[in-house]
Amino acid sequence: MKNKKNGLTLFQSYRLYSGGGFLSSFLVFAIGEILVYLFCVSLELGLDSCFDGHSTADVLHDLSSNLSQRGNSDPTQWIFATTLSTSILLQQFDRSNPGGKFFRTVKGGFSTYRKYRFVVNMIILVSAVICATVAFLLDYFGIIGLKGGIVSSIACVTSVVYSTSVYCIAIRIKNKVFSSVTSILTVVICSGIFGSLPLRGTEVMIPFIILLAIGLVLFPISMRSYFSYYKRVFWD
Amino acid sequence: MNKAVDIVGLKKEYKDFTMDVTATVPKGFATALIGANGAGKTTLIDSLCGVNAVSSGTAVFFEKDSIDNSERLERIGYCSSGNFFPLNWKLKTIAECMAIGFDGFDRERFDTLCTEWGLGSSKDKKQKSLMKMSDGNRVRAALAAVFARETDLLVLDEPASPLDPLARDRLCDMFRSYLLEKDGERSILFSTHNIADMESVTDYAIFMADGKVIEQGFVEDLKNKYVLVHTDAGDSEKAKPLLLTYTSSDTGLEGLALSENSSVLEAVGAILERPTLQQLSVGVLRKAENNEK
Amino acid sequence: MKILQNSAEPIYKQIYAQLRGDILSGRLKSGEALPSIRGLAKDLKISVITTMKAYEELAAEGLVVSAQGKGYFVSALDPRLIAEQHQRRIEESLTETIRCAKMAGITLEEVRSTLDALWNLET
Repeated sequence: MKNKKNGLTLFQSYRLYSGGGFLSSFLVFAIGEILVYLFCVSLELGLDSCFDGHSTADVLHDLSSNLSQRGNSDPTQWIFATTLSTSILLQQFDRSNPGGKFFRTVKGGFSTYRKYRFVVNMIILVSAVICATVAFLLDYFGIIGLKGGIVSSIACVTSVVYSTSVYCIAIRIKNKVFSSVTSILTVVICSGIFGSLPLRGTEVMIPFIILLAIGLVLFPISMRSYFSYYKRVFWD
Repeated sequence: MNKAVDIVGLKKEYKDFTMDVTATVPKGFATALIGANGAGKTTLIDSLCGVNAVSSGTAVFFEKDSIDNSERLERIGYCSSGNFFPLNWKLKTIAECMAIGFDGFDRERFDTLCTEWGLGSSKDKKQKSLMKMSDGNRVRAALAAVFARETDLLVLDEPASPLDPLARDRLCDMFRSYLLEKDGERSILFSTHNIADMESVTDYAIFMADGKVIEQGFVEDLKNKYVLVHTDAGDSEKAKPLLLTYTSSDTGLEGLALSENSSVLEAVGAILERPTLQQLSVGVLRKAENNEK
Repeated sequence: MKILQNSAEPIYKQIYAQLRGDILSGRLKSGEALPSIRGLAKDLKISVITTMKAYEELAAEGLVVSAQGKGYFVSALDPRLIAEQHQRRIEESLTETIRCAKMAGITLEEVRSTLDALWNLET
């Protein structure tokens, strides 16, 4: 345990705000996103079979043989669902909301909030990376096909990174309704853009990696700007 | 007088409202912040406890010219009005988060208080979330959390408002025990718009209207400074010029005056009485309202 | 100690009067400690300033002394001080009596004869 005089640790800050442990939240995100991936896959395949009016045994047989050849389907759906995890950033701690004043008077004040938000962002990012890696590995070992292969995985992570950064900027919109609407639209837009690009084939891999790199540089910059704006306008 | 908080020109500006306060919270006593809704009580309390940033002015705590922010957060036991904690929290969550957020939090004491007040314990197997509790119980849970901390100054925003009379009486007892425990070292500042119920524990009163302090002082001194005046209908006109504020009816007048005018008032046939803090508050606040018009 | 919360007489005056009586009659001895102001406030369910004011009035008359950080103690009483206290009390009562008499239009002679009658009754 860090010396209490120096403020709270990252994990303590997270626990304070969320009311629950870091590990359980992280596992929920990571495993949840993997399950979402599998769900998206089976949804498509299951539907295909069902529409043909086959029996259950036939459906299962089609499922297992189609799985490894999924290469023809669209990863946008999965990327959208994963990017949706960034919507947790919508949670605000205004003074007028229950808990708002409590958090402002707790040890560390705003710096504890920063640590909490940082942990949340890391959970979102790392879960997305894990999920994307799992999807890529499943494709690599021929278990479940992934259209676009590694590019789709990179697209997924890129979509999450950009979506988070846009959230950080969206709070600057004065009108609360516009701000929330924009925040939700970023999920759609990011996943739409980054989800559809892999369909163009493997020649987009290098540009994609560049896009991701830019995103990763923008990420801490937008977070810093978010914190300074948030402190000035919402916290104080 | 030793001061727990010395507030000088503390200003907070909003679009249509400015708070500008100079006041004292004496050490070792319970101070009531009295005023109508919108008078600025919550703004003042929040500004003192770091919930709001101020535009200018100073607040000196515990007679220390400069105090570290973390020390201030640790030594002051703040509890807002309304919902202090997130509504999806349970007693267990409150206990765990309070322990993280404050060094001096005593979980055993928290559980004892919660059990005493009929909320259960943070160690119970099945716990209700705050959302499912009544307003009164939510406030009790928040107060239990604050009282379970080791503090030198309690700053409570409308702690009695959602409580029933018996609970208010218990709260007054808790205030007295708190002050007694470190005889003279601890202080309380609480706001209320219902002073009648908290009168028996109030030592010092600060009256606010429209963001400013309109009167303050030790209760016994204020009760000596002002006098409650009753006159018959016939003597009303003679008494009126000396009254700060009054209400009239067919039977006569009742109003508040400075007690230095006592002999003159008695000479015109008025009967005088020492006011209760409630009566004093009504008079002082009504006068402020009249001044505004 | 018994105090009336709803009496017209201020609570601090009631406390003052009862303690004064105890001190002058010797029920509270010289050097004895009075309950702490916050302890008494808690027991009587009143505010701290009320007990403090009662104690301050007693101190102003020399009946108690306050020791910094330790509380209030009954002072060593001088027989002259006690006599002075009693004398003051008599003067206060008589002033009140005179005021009532004048308001009611009772003469000095009538008051004197009432005093004589009551004095004989008391013994």
